Formats: sequence, C-alpha cells, structure tokens
Amino acid sequence: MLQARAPRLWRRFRRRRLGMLSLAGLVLLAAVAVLRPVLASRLPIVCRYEGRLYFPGLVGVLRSVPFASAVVEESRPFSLPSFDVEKAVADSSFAVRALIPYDPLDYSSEVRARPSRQHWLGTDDLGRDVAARLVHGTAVSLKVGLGAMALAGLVGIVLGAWAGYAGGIVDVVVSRLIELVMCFPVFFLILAVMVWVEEPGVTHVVFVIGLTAWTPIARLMRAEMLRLRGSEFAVAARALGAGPVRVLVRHLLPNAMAPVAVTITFGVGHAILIEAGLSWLGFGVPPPAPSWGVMLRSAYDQIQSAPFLVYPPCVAIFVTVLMVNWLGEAVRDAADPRGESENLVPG
Amino acid sequence: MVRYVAKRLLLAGVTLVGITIVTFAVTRLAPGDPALEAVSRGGASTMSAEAYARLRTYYDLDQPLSRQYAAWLGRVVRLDFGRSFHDGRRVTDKVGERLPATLCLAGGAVVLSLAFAIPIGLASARRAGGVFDTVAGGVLAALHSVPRYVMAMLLIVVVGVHLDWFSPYGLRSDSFEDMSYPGKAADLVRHFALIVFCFAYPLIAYQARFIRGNLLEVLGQDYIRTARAKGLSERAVLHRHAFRNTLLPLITVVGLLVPSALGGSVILETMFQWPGIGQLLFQAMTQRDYPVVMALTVVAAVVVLLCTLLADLTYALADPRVRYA
Repeated sequence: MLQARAPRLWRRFRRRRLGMLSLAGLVLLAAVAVLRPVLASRLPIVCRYEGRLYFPGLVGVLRSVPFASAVVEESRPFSLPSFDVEKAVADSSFAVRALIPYDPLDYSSEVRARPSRQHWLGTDDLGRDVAARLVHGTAVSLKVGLGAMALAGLVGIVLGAWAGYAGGIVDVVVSRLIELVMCFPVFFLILAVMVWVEEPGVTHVVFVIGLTAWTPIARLMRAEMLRLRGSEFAVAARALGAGPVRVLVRHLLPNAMAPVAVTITFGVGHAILIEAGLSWLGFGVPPPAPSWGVMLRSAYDQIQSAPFLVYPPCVAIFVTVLMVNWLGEAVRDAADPRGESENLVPG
Repeated sequence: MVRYVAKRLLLAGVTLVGITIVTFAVTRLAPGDPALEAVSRGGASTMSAEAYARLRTYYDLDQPLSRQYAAWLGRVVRLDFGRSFHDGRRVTDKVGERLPATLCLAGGAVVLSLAFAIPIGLASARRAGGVFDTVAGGVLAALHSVPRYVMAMLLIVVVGVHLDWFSPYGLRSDSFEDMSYPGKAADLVRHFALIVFCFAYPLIAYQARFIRGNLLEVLGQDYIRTARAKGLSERAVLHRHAFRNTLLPLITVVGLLVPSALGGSVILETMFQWPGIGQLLFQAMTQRDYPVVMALTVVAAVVVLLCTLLADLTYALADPRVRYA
C-alpha cells in the first residue's frame, strides 16, 4: 500500500508552487549544512603547496559525514593548529579558497566590524565572522530539527499506534501519559530537564526536545488507529489470516502516515525554534558553538554597540521556519485534497 | 452529564498526581547539592561537617526520596513551597510578587488579540475570498510565521537603538520618577505595548482564522437561511445569529492558548526584563533554586490542566455528543 501511496502524494504535492519552492529552499539549506567546510572555512578547498596538491576543504566535507572521521584522515599539515594557513596559501602556486575564508570559531582583532567586502555580515564581539557562523549554525539547526523530530516521530508513532490498536489498559496508560506531558508548558519542562545536564551539547538538546515533542504525534496516531481499526480493509486483512502485527504494520500504519507526516513536518520548525530559544537562554548549545540562538544572544548582549548583528540570525531563523511551515501546509493539502477550500487563507 | 464530569474529574486527578511526581523527580534528581551551594553563596569555602549536616536536614536532603516527596506534597497542598535556596525568602512571596506582571501580560494579550481578531474574522467571513479576506489572510499568515522572540529582537533594535525612542526593557524607564503624571502614564503604556504586542500578534492570526472558519461553517446552516428569509439585515444575521454560535468554541480556544503563552513567557520576559513568572523561572534555573523551579512548574502545569478541564467541560455542556463519545 505504501508503494502506491507515495507517488500519488508526490504528484499532488508537485502542483503546489509554495510547497515546491520551500522544499527547494530546504534542500539548498541542507546542502549548505553539508558543504559548510567548503563554504566557510579558513582552509582552502584545493591548494598546491610545496609541489603537492592538498584538498583540506573536501576532506573536511568527507570527515563531517557520521563515522567517516575514523576512515578519512585529516589533511595534514593544514589541519594542524600551529600551521599558518594564510602564509601557505600566499606561498602556494595555486589555491581555491572557501567562499567565506573564515572559521566560525576563529577570533580576530577586528571586533564588531560592520558588514564589508571582507566580512559580508560583519564580525561579532570576539572578531568572529558572522557569515561563517551563520553557515555553520545551519547544520546545528537542521540537526536539532530533524533529529528531534525523528525521535519524537518514532516515540509518538509507536506509542500512539500501540494505544489505538491495542486499546484497553495500554490505551488508558498511554493516554494519561500524553495528557501528563502536554500539561507542562514545553519550555518549563525542557528547562527543568536541561539543568540536569552538566555540559549540554547538540545531542542533549535533540533528546530533550524529541522526548517532549512526541505528544501531538501520538495523539493523532491513536485517533487514526481508532478510526481505521474497524474499517473494512482491516477486517478483510484479518479475515485473510493476517496476524495483528501484520495488520498494524502493513495495512493500518501506511494509511495513517500522511497526517502524521504533516505533524512531524511542522514539528521540525518548532524544534528549530526551541533550540534557538534554549541556546539564547543559555540552556541549549553552549556558547562558542555557532548556533543561531547563541548568535542571537551575543547580538542581544551588545545591541547598542553592534545592532547589525541582530539581523542575520533573525532572518535565518525566520526564513527556515517559514519554509518548513509552507512545506507542512503543502504536504497537508496534498494528503487531504478535501480540505482544499478550507485553505483559502494560508498560514 | 454528571457521569461525564465525574469521569473527567477523576482523570484530571490522576494527571495531577502525575504532575507532582514528574516535577519532583525532575528537580530533585538534578545534580548539584543545594546545601553545598547555599554555603558557598555565604562566602565560606569550608564548613564543619556538623553545619553541613544541619543544612541537609533543613532542606530534607537526608531523607529517602519517597519521604522527601511525601513531605513536599503535604506542604504543596497547603500552598507552602518552602524557602528559596537563593535568598531564603518564602517561595510563595517570590512567585506572588511576580504574578501580577505575567497576568497583566496574558490578559492584555488576550484582550488585544480579540479586539483585532473578532472584527477581522467577521469582515473576512462576510465576503470570503474577497479582497479584504485575501489581504488580511496573507498579512496575518506572514505575521504568524515570525517567531515571537525574533519579533521581540527586531522591535528592541528598531525602538531602542535605531529610533532611539526609549529603552525597551523593564516596566518603566529609569527616569520614571522625574516624569509628570501624563508622562508616567505614557511611559508605562509604551513599555507594556511592546511586550504585549509580541505576545498578541500570533494570537490575532490564529483567532481571526478560527472565527472566520467557524462563521463560514455556521453560515451554511438552515437557521441562518431562516434568519435571512425573515428579512433580517446581513449585519444582524452575522453578528447576532452566526457569531454567537462561534463564541463558545472561541472561548475554549482562548483557554487552550494559555500553555503556549506561559511557555513563551520565559524568553520574552527575559528579553524585555519584564519582572514576571517567566523571568523568575529563568533566574531560578540559573541559580539551581529548586523550590522556586518546582513551585513554578507545578503551578504552570496545574493552570494548564485546569484550562483544559474547563475547556472540555464547556464543550461537553454545549455539545451533548461529546459526553457520550
């Protein structure tokens, strides 16, 4: 059933211009996140140094793939901390620099420089290039958004489907659990948990957001299961001798996935917002890391002396969340064509 | 109806117990020894074993967890949340003095958003698909997509730096005492206006769309045709017959918006240095002030629980189908 469903959804989705536009934008953003070692790094992409060709930037891209750092070696001597990259590039006969030739963590004496040819978006209070930090922050935001919602989706789908399909005591317990978690304002719960963590990192943020964001998914999944459980195709499958697991996984779940996918999509936007908010408060990704929330905080702290620092993270957060929302709406419209008239008012 | 209410109350009771357990677990299992921190705040780097033991007894930390929970719960029921680890003041006092600022904010945001959303919703529904509907819908949708704290940062930059109009932090300006009475009033209003707007603008979009959708549904019904057939003006049909029917769901929706407002208050209040509940939570977090954190989390969750309960019960009262579902 799943095989027949996806192409139809895609056909309907493709007709929504705003949805396609935001999908393209998000793919571009993901490309920026993956290619960040070539886009913003003080290491050159390609360089001929002392008669040998080096590819420090490309190696950086490869090494940022999970687990690849064990296989792909660092590009020496460029990766050594004491190595003078600027001098090496100047000496080399041939070098292709990154688009933004600065590292997101590199300090310089040019503090709070206004946007210029050298620093497109200016520098912050420690002389770090804002554009480079913005590029690297994309990876943090997408990691948190996608990671947290993958976790929330898993928990929500499993618990919701189990509760709705099994009914009885399972349903009672899961429903209570959903209601319990929903009672806490998200930020209160997340903050209360984040004080536990001695040294918060991206992984902690992913887990905390994921484990608080699953409730709407579980609730929706449970309702879908209750609706589908007694449907004729489920009865037919059972009559043909399919066991409960097979009915659930092969027949009911594929039919319930579309609305759940919509909720998960919107959830990605929420997770990105929560991460930036947490980091702004100082309970998320810790400061030297180039998270959009951390950048927003440093902009807030020196709003009088360097107001231009406010705009880059603001625009990045807004545009990303807007595209995720538009994508979610397009998926929703594609999944449920009956609701089309209702969506005359966007948003 | 009695059976439904009884069942709903029972379930709410179970959730309430769950809330207290979760809050207690989350805050008490956190690392860090509050007794040690209380001493280090006092400036002493070392202390006698006896003093340390006395502090641990004072904070109940030498008891088993179940005993700690029972003791804590017993006090919570009497609204006694103990004393703050940070400055030794009663938690109830600390929370009480912050409450008005947040309530003003929530009330102001609800009033402001309804003041805009109701007329916009009515006007949009009157000519659905018309010019006003399309423009207002588009503008509101765009506004709705701007995250609250992004809007707050932009407002702070524009008002506080670029226009240099006034310093947008806190309840009032530093020079408040020197102002004339109208000046004082204006100062309070402009400080309030910024943060309330940040709370209200997503609500406007949400409520206006909700009202419009509900009105359109109601407008297709028979009794509306009857009202029109007996010669009532379109205005009377819309306001007196159709809109009244959307009021109840509107009230429930507003009630359910409380949790999001509470959650959002942490960042917004910290950003605007607004002395409310959210800022208190943030400060208590950074100070590891468990009693305050526990009190705020429990109170927030109970408020949300009550709002949901109230919304469910009003709905059941209005729509008998809910009771038998």
